[in-house]
Amino acid sequence: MTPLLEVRDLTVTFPARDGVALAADAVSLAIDGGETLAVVGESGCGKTVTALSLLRLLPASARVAPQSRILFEGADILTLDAEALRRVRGARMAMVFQEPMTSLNPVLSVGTQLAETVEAHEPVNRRAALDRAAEMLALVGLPDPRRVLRQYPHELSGGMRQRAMIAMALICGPRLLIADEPTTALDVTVQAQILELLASLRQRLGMSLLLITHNLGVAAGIADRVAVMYGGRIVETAACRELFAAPAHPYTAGLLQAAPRLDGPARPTPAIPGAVPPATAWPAGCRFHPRCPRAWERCGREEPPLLDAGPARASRCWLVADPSGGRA
Amino acid sequence: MSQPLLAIEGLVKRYPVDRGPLRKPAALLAVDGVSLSVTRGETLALVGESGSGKTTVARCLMRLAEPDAGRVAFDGVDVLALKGTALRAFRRRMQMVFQDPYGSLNPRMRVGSAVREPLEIHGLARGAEADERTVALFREVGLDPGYRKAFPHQLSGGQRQRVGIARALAVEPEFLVLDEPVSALDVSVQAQVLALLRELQERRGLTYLFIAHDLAVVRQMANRVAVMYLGKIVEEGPAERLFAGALHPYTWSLLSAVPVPDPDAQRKRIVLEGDPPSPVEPPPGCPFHPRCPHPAKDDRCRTEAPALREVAGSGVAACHYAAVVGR
Amino acid sequence: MTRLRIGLVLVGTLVAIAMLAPLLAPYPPAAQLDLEQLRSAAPSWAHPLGTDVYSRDLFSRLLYGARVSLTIALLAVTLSVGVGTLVGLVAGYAGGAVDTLLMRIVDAGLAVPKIFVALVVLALWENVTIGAIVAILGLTGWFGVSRIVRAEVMSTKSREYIQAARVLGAPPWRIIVRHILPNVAAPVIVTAALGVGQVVLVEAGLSYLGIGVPQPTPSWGNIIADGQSVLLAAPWIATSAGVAIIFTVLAFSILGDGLREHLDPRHP
Repeated sequence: MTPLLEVRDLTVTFPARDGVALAADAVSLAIDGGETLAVVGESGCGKTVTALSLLRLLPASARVAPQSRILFEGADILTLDAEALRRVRGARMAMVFQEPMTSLNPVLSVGTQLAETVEAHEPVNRRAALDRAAEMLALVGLPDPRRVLRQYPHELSGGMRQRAMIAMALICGPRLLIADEPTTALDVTVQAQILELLASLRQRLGMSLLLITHNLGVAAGIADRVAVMYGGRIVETAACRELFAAPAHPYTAGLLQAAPRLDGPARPTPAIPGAVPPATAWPAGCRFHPRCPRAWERCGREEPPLLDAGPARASRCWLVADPSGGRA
Repeated sequence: MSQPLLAIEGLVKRYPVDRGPLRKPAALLAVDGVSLSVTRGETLALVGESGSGKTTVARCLMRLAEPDAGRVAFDGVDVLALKGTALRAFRRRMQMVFQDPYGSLNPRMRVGSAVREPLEIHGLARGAEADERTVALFREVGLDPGYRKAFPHQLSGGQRQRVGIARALAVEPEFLVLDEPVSALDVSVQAQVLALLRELQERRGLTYLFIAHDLAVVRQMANRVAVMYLGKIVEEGPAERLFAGALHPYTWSLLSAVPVPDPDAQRKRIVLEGDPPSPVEPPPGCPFHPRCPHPAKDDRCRTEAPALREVAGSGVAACHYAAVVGR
Repeated sequence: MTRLRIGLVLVGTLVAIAMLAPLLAPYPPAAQLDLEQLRSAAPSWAHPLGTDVYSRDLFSRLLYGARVSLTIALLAVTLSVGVGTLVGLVAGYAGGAVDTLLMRIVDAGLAVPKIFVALVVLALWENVTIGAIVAILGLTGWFGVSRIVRAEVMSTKSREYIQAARVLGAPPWRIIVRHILPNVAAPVIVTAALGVGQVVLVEAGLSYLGIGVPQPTPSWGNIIADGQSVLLAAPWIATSAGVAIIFTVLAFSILGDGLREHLDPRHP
């Protein structure tokens, strides 16, 4: 079965003051229908750039390399003409952003924004569009939807705004929802509500979810599969359970160890030494090797490709090929 | 038992809220009668979500905002009554590290000068001696002294936060108020900065008031935890006990809401209904009652605001039906 | 070539010309060379821009005029920016009654049209000197600057690094000078650069009307006035000065825009 979304060799660069920043480097991933993929990484890893590329929302200065492919429902997003792209955005593939206040238009009521989205893709009149909008708002758990239709974004709380954004993204029934750090700006109790909402919606609407996050806990709670990014590259992919039970890549292991947790004993967590290098100067060989506790001579010389680490598992690490690496 | 280093009693801070030209401004009760104490050498965590008032408490302590009522005593000194030179002298004993490592540094000032500035302000060192002390501070927080000439935008988030810490340490304070010091940092960097803070506490004998919304981070740092909701403290107690079993239903929900990096974690998640209420119009009775998941919630909760009461040697909680709920 | 660089080159050239005028000018600007033969003479090798109605070499007059016009403009702008920044800093940082009082004065100042005031004052003044013109233009031009500075101060005041400075125990003067001022400098510099071009225009206008720089001291404005009566017979007189003014205003505009681009988004 062909995947719903397939990204191949996506490479994005930006001009920078002191060179060229390689933000995403030959990123490849795939999502099947009904699947939830979490892309996890810290700042500068390239996850947001990847997400924005999917709907061609990158800033004008970004350069997407010609060999990149983004195949969605059979067509290459990167080569669609403007009208075809418009028909995809919102109706087939939609996106929810981190900061709901800046992604909702502050001078239009919620109802207007939702109705406009419907009208842009389907031949309905305003009244029918507003009815759909009210239904959608109820679906995302907003009390008194008719009232919310008339309200403006600033009149809603953070959690309610995010729900309104989700409603707007889903109103035309897209097959794929991309959520870029949808809960990072929210309080933790509201975060839990929104994550629960996303999980139940994907079930009810049978859609796929691509969740971008830096929080491993969030990924663990909702993802079927996880892809970890570092240095503009995917460094590990695995089914959710397997990744958390036994991470193959030292960076993933380091992240899991460094994350403060509520379960288990209250020990201070070991940090990953060093810092992420700038995107204009990734280290030679494996990009993580300067900070890796298991690195050996080969790691600094040759960058590993994504190696098969089991059924539906891959890790960009020489330890997969040579588990006793450096210790022999 | 020794006198606490910091004692806050009945702190109240109101902000007027404009309700348009035709209505009288309402009063937003950001801090509504908060009392806390911190003993020398310990870390008290103050936890809450947005609108809880925890940042306002910090600002009142540091005299960035003037409270409307209450007492704050630091080592016996009435902090709120200090003025002029006495206030400035007091600043040497209690300092603050801010949340936003970028916003808390002057973008046009080299970071070395930023760390040096407190030495100049308080006349602690000049010229070459000030230089030496700046270098020592940089080393102490794990920064290469070569970075002294850099501007904030040339440093990473973690490095900037270290600069903020070095700056706060320059005056050799006894007490640090840490306002969400790692919230804006990546996970791997968070762990580094937390380790640094623990190390500094041990080496310098510091006392911390650690303000945060992330309970998992708090668990690593705190000896005692106080939870705030809508301007009031709703629970307080030793950290270990609180994480093992909280007394107040809000604390239960906070703990339960924190995502854990383990897909198999079979936790019964308590997901609260509705949004945090507006502090401008708090509900009558117990401020938490509209969202409270406690099975014993009843009419009394709707009408009578619970007082902060001692609960069976486990700490204090403001709930009519406080009970330890194991995780 | 970035706009900033172009602007700097153009303005730099102007300033160099103005400063080197005594060396570059072949004749003293007020010298009436030959009232018989050389009145309103067309451009020639000896006189690259011709002569005016009083047989004064136009090229020399233009060069010295650059000196005069630029000096007036730069000094006047310095004065307005100085006063405006001071008022803006105090009003923005102090707030409350002080702010209200100062801003009402600024409102009054902005309500009065600058040109009118200048016209009235200069027309009634007995012996107008360069200093007087600088003073008038400077003192009528600070109101806008103070508003800009006040707005910047108020937005900077609430930034966390200002709070951090207060927590460290920095006294208000130190906060204003070391923390606020460097961060409000950018819009002020841009306004100043653009302002120079504007003042050049105003001064030219006043001199053209005869109430600005007094003859025989050349100013581009009064050169135009001189050339107006013989516009058809000797167009080079008025035209050369006109072109000089246009060039100058353009140069400072480009510089101002270049500075704005350079100073604002890059430096956070």
